[in-house]
Amino acid sequence: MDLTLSRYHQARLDLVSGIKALVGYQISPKVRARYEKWAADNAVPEAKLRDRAFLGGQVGRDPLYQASRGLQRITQEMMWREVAAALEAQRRELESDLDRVVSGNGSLTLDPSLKLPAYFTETEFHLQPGGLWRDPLTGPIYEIGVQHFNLHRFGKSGAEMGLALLQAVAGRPVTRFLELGCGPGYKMYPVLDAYPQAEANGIDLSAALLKYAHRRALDHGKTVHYRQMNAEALDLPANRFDLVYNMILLHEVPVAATRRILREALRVLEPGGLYADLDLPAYRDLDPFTAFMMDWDTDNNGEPFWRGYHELDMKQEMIDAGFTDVRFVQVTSDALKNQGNYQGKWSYRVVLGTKPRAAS
Amino acid sequence: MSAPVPDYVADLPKTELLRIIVALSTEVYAMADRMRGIEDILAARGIDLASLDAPTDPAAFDEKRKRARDDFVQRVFGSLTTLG
Repeated sequence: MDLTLSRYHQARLDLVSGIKALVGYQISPKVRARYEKWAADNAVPEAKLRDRAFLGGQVGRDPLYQASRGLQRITQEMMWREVAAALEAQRRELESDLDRVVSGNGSLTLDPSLKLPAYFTETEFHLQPGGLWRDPLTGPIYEIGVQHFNLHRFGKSGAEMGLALLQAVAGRPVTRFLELGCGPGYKMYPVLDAYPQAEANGIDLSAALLKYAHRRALDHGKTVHYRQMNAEALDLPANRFDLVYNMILLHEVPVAATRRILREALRVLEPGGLYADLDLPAYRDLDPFTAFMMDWDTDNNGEPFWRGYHELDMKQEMIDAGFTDVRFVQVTSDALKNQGNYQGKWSYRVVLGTKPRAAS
Repeated sequence: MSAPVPDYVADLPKTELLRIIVALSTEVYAMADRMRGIEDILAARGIDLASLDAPTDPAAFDEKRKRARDDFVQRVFGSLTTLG
C-alpha cells in the first residue's frame, strides 16, 4: 500500500511540519530560557515550580509561550485535516485494498462482538478526528500524521520506539512475544528484525488499525499474528509468552485500565518472562519546565490520561501487579541518532519487570 | 472527552497576528504569480506539467525542499520568535 502523497498535499503538510519545527526548535527553547532566568532571579523553590497552577500563572503570561501553544494546537488540527484530505481522493482504492483478502504469512483475527471501552471510543487521541477506530482509513491517516507530529525524527521507517525498546531488552532470547496495543504495526518491526525466528503477536482494540497493520506486514514481508482484543482482558492462555510489551500505550488509558493490563501481561507471560512498558519519562524524573510543557498535552492534545500515567508510580504498580526485578531503563536519542533523522534530544523510559518463576 | 479550546493567544498582540497574515498573503501571492509565469513559459514550449502532481516524499528527506520550507516559515512566522 503506497501512502506517498501528491506534491500538492505533501507541500501543505510540509508547511505544517515546518511550523511545528519552529515551535519545537526556536520558540520553545526561548520560552525555557525566560523561565530559567525568572526562576533563578527569584530563587523559586522546586516545589513551587512543580505546582502547575503556579507555573502556569507565570509562564502562561509570556506571549512567546502563548504563540507556541496556539501554533501547536492549530498545526495539530491542520495536520490531521490535511492528511485526511490528501487520502480522500484515494479512499475507495485504499479501503478496498484494506478489505482485500491476501494470502501470506501471519494472520488477522477480528472480533466484531468485542465491546470497546468508552475511554477508547470517546477520545480523539492526539486530536485525530474519529479517534483510532471510526474511519476505515484510521491506520494510513495515523501513520502519515504521526510522522509529521514527530517531525520525521526517525526517518521514514518509524522504527524509533522499537529500537529504543531493543536497547532496553537487548540480548535476551525470545521465542514468542506479544505487543499490546500494536496499532498500525510498524513500531514492532525492529523487534521482528531482532528476533526473526520468534512467533510475533499483536493485539489492539481497533479493527481499522489491525487491518492496516496486517496489510502493512504483508507488504513488508513480516509474519505477525494480529488479533482484536482488549489488553485489559486478554483472550489468551496463561504462561504463553516470554516477552510481552507495549509502547506508548499506557498513557492512552485510565490508571484503572493500566492496572488490569499489568495483571493480564503477568498472566500470559511464562514464569521468568519479561514485561516492558516503553513511554515518555514520569514528570518527577523531568525538570519542572519540561514536565509542565509535557502536561499541556493532557488538556490540549487529546491526551486525557497523559497526566495520570506520568504521575503514576510505575515501579510500585509493577510490584503490586506481581512482577519482580522491576527496573527502569532510560533510552535517549543519543543512543539512536546515528540511525534516525534527529534534531534536538528525545528520551524514553522503559519499565521492565519479570514474572516470578514460582508464579503461574 | 474533548475540552473547549481556550484562547491560547489571549495576550498576543493582534497586530503581530495581522503582520503574519499580511506577510503570508504576500508570500502566497508572489509565489502564485511566479508559478503562473513559469507554467505559461513551459506550456508555450510544449512541456507537460502533469509530473508536478506526482507523489513526493516529505521535505524532511529532501534537503533542498526542507531548506526552502524553513526559509519560508522563518520569513512568515519569524517575528513570533522575538515576542515579549
